[in-house]
Amino acid sequence: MPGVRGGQAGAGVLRLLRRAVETRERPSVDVRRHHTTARAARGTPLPGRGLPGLLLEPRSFAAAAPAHPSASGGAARAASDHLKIFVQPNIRSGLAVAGLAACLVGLLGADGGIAWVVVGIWTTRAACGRPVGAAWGLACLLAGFRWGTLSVADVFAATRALGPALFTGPLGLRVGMALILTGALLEDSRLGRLRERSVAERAAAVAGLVALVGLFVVPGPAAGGPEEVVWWAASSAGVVALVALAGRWVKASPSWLPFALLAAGAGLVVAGP
Amino acid sequence: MAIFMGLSALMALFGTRLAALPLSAAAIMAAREAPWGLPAGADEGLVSVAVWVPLLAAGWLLLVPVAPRRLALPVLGATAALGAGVVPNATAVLGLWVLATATAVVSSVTPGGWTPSVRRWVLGVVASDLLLVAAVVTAAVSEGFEGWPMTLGRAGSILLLGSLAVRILLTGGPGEGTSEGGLLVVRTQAAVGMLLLGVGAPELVLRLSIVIFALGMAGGGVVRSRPRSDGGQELALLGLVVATAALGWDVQGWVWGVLAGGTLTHYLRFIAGRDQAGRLAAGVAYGGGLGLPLLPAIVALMHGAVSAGDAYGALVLASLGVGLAGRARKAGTFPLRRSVGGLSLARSTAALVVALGVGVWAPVLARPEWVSLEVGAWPQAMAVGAVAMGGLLGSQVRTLIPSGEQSGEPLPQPAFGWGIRLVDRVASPAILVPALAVLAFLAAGIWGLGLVRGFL
Repeated sequence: MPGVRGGQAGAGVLRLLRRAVETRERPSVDVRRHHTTARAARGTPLPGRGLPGLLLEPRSFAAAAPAHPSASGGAARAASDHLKIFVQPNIRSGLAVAGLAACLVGLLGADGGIAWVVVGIWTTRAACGRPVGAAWGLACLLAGFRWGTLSVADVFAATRALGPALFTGPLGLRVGMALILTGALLEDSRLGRLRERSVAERAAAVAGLVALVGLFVVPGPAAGGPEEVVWWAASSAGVVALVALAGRWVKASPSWLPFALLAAGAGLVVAGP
Repeated sequence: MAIFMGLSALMALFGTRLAALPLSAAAIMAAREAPWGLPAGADEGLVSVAVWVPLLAAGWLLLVPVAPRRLALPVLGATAALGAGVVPNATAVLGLWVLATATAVVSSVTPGGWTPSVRRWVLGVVASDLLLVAAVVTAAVSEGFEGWPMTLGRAGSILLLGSLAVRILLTGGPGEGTSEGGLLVVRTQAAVGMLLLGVGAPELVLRLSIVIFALGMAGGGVVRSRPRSDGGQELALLGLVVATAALGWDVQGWVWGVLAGGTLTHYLRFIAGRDQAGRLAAGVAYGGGLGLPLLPAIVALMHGAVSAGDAYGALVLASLGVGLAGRARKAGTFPLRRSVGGLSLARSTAALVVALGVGVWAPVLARPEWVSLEVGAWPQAMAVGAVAMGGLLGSQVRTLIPSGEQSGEPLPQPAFGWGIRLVDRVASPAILVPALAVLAFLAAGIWGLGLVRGFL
């Protein structure tokens, strides 16, 4: 086995830490395969210093579950496929916080801010192991498309001068923006973002909703003018409450519905002007 | 440059990783020899391809624990493909192109012979080449051999676009263990073909290509194989940049940015999951996009799309978003490839630092002065520093994410069984070998015609 030094006795089969496999289900592995794992013969623990910090799985586990859904058949049959390595918690935590920081940087008006908000939130969610929320990200990008810019500062300037995207422009455009916003909120609500286990994921959910409100619902805050900021915060709190409360009713809605709303809205926005 | 490429192929044949040195020299020579005298717009792109293809091969030699001799043929094939992009006469194009294809096909055959996956892949390559042959013949019949690729015309452009659409599906090679031919040869051919398309295609075909490459970008996110996904998305992004730049969008010079970011993304995949640096590489390459070396090019194209403000802009914007979101679904587990020593760890760390540097600070891409790439809107250094600081601080907080959770989300498993059975029926040696022979005959015939007519 490449990469593992066995010492005098050698390491025939790696022993997996009990709590790492038997008390937790891997979301991508069939239940029957978990049973196979539980029955797998266990050898001695990894002797010597081994590979600290890595979660290792024995050959029998991999034999039972040869292909992780994210890997191709060829990848799963690679020479050393019986060992899989996970991205470690501290690296994932770092990525999650970096994502939140990128979101904050975008909201504070950095160039290309909408892209930074979207990429930041998606990075946080991916690090937490949750679906990134494509509909939410597309809604933010389409808000930028409606104003012809990716800069949050430019969008705020435009909404300050002309009014929020949701209430400005021809009827078709307003309906389109409303459909896009509804699609994004529906996705967040049905995925239960605000009830996630991790603090980072809940923070990302709130930040994402604050961004949506800023891009769609309220006029942009003026420099030195607190009224718009207060209005933005109050609206965000209302939307957060709405998404949290609506979760139980929209949970059973079809997963394609947010994207259908988004597609319809995008069509109206493109045709609108 | 070609001499250095040949030398590196020879050194790789002898099994030494020092072949990376002449490959690096080839990249430097490619940059110094520019421009090569092709129509405006193609020069700059071809220089980018000629620089980043040898650097991808060099990175492969240094970062992937495979026998160096496996890269000898693909390096020669990539050189031939680059040559096909330089020649201004259509009679020489096919000879070099088919030579490159032959190296890709030979290098993709595994010790197990022509496995079904290899046969399917070869069938795709042959089909793509036949479309290119048709494009060359169409252009030659209507406009003659001289002036390639300006003679493409509408029919030739559509055929070339069809060839490229097939090719971007094949960049990952037949399998992860045999992807040299795909990533080095087919990727180079596709990049060259896209540049030719950008120079010679009329507006209608350019708009059609935007639709096709946008679908490729979005679809690449949900392809399960990581080499195919990375290669396909890189090439789709390249095609979008080339086509939109030809239509006047503000993405001039970003061919360099796409190929640089794409090459570094491949580096991240090479080291993903291998050691401490590789684990961060895995999280970055298959995360939500932050730190991804392709991100600067994606954001640049997003800027172009929102500025365009039409249906094509909305389509491109949506495809970029869906493509990025799809990448995050491929997080999760990675094969542990091999134990690493100090030197290997140093190489992984160097690759990670360069990739992350490009991913978070796009102005790095415009640093060599001869690169005509302008990075417009990009956050100030202080903002980027805040993101990096957040990452460092966050990595110290282990309780932020429950340790039991695993990154990644199961990808849907499409059932294409009937399609695969159909392809397998066609992709038999009884069909593939004659098809390859026909390709070789056509290439040699047209090249001979060029000799007889005094074109060469």
